[in-house]
Amino acid sequence: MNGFLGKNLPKMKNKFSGKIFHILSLIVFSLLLMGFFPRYLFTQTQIQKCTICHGKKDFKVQLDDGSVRNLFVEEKLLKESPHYNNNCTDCHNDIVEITAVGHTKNVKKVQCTRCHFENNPVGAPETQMYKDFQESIHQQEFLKGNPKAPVCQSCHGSHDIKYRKSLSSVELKKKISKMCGQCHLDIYSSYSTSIHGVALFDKNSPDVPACSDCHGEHKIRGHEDPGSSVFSTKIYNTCGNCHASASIVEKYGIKSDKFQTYESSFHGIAMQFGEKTAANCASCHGVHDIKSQNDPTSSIHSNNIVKTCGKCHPDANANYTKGKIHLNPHSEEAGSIYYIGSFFKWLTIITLSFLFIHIMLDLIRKIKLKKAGK
Amino acid sequence: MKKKEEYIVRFNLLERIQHVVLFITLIILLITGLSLKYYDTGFGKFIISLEGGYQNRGKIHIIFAFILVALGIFHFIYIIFSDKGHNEIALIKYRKKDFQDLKKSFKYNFRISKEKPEFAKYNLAQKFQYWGVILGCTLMIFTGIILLLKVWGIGMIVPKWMWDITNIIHSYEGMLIFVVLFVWHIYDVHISPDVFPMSTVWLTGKISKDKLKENHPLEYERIFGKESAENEK
Repeated sequence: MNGFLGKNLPKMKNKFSGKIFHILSLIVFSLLLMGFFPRYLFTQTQIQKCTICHGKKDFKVQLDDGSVRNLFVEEKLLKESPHYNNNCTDCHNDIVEITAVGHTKNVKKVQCTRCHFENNPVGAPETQMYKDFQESIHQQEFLKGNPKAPVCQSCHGSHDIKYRKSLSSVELKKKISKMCGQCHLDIYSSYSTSIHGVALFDKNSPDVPACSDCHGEHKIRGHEDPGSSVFSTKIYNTCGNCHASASIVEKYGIKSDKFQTYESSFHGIAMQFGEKTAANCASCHGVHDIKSQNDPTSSIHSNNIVKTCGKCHPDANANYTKGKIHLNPHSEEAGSIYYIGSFFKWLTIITLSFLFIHIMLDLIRKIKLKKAGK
Repeated sequence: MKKKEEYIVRFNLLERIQHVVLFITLIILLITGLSLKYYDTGFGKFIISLEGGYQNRGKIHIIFAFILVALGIFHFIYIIFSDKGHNEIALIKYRKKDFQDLKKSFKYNFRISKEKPEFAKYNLAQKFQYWGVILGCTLMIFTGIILLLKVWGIGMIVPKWMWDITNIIHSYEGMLIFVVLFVWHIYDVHISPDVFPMSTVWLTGKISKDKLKENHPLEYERIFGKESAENEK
């Protein structure tokens, strides 16, 4: 850089011109530095003012209901988050004045949508998510005034927000499951002992579904909402997202024909005609507690099938267990069922062929006779 | 000089009513049944919607299945306890002569021989179609009852794998009956140049003397006596 500039230097006779160039280039260089690493330059003073109090590890306050709230904010976490460039008051915008005794105690919850909306002027990532969230059961509960209803920061974190890509798929799924489990504790405990949960937590399988894979993320709806991905007439498609895909399930020794065999079964056909009471995947396999058929506690273990079928079919008896459930009559694996089906298929084809020949011969002769008769 | 056409009563009213009930029942059973078999095609879905949806389709199928069962019971009583029915079944049952006729008929159809097999009241195709319907309906009724017991929540009376076979048979046998009846029988009584556009025997029960002589010469001889048959030749 200096060499390039230096070429022009001898033309300028002034002694000081060299020095000015050096100073100028230093200023330009510092500006560039500030451009690339602004967090070390601009936000420092403002954050420092807040961290006088909030930087102390034992900075706590007792709330009206007697509980103690920790007000310590680790500066390091904030610096590593995507919001490293923001000031504290960018989000906590209701704090306008800090006096000797601190600021107002009624600090409101941060509104993420202040920046995160479409075409926002401050350059925050543009997203549809806040719109999706409006329809979700979480937002509906929040609007009803349920104090436990989650808002953005309940799941995404507040000061410690991280980029989604900063975690691997498995880590993310584990984190999501635990995140949802903070409120949905019962479900978390049955999920974590299910075949999906065990595969995620013990075997670190990247393919298993975490909560959001079935329920959706921002659009989560109640399971009785017809728009939900886990509504009774929709769940088989949701399970099918993975279980109809050979590339996902077959490496775990699970056949990918389960979706197709369900679809062509009585239950599946009724389901496709919108019969809500027809059995879906979860009716037999369970919901969060899905387990392998080899597990004695599984609803589809051979000892439990009669009981499972009995939920809908009070007449269920041992005959229900004597045969394959996910049956594909067009595959040779179906055994006698396949061969009897094939027998009838060929019988029909051969009968049709004979009839065709018979009718053609008969027709030709009768037409000839008629012509001769005339 | 045109001869005045003479008719012979081939089927009495009770037999014609049985035939009408049978074909109405079978057509409705086939439409409601096969639309479920081909539920995944647009046409199947369309037919099911015409039938009033998935639930109604099943109800219609079951109602007409019971009409078919009732008809079957009536027919059974008719052929056993009525003289007319008793005589008809004697004419329609297979005899040694039928196998000889079958051979002749093959030779005749394939132009090997010019000798035409002579039939009594029922020819080979008619006998085959009758017994085909009897066998097919019996199979459909029995498999249907096994399926229905499960649908009505009374119980799976056979192991699941046999129930699946029952289901497969019910489904494919339905298709087979459709093929045989709607190709062969419709040809015989509608398309065939002899009767086109339709044989009226099912409505009037009457067949012309000429037709009887041509297609059922042995029956003609039985009614008018051998001599009269030979004289008219």
